[in-house]
Amino acid sequence: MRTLQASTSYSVGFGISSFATFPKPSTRRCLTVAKMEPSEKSVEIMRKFSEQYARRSGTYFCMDKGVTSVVIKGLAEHKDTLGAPLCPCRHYDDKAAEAQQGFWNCPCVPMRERKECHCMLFLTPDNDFAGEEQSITLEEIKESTANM
Amino acid sequence: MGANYSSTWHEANLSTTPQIKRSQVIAFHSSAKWKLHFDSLKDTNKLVVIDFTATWCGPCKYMEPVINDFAAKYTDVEFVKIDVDELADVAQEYGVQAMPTFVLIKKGEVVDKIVGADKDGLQKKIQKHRAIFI
Repeated sequence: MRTLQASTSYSVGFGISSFATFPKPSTRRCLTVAKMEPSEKSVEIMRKFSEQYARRSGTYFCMDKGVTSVVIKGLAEHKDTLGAPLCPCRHYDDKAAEAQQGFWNCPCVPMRERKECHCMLFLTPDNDFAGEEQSITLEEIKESTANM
Repeated sequence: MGANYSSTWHEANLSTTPQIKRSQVIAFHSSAKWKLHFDSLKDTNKLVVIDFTATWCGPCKYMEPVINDFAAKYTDVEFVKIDVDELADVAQEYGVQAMPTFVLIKKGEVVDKIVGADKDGLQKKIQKHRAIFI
């Protein structure tokens, strides 16, 4: 029990010298966090795009705007790191190759062809999750993703 | 992150009765640790539900409180959370393409799979597979 307790991260925080190998994972964690937060510029670009595309396609944002906010941030993050708004709700073997190929760049082919958005960003009015709005503010995005 | 993993995993292993007092969703951040845990569950009858998630996946965030509620309700079921970007090899092993994907495992074998934020569908599958050994 003691051994396992000692392996928790707070023991690292107290600087126990016997766990000198621990700074490595914590460095990696910092890098992960840095990678995760998209630039405000990209968030704004993707926010505007989302509003425009919802209106153009006759689709609506999720009644839970937290879902919308997270996806917009995900698209922005991919725009920052890959140069294209690759769908953040899919898993890829090679993200860079996928972004270049374009099939899952937002709006993806299934959305353009059949109005299918697995990410729940653009919902047709008959969808149970569909709200009544086609607009979202930067403040709403910030607010609903603040505790992430 | 590591703290969460260690303490919850430890708790789960300490429990010898099927009723875990404070059921939680266990997040794995290392494939090796997941493998170890997976192997320890292979010989049990316990239903394991893996939630394959990603940081900026909206439907995954929607399902998060749902999964937490399920974990509190179905204390005989083990709920595991895996970030596909963190443990890409595990996601690949289970053929995860879209998130969220919920993979239901029993005795080391995949017994069911559900893709998307389908709360009711997932609950039905959990009830179906956990009911077998009750």
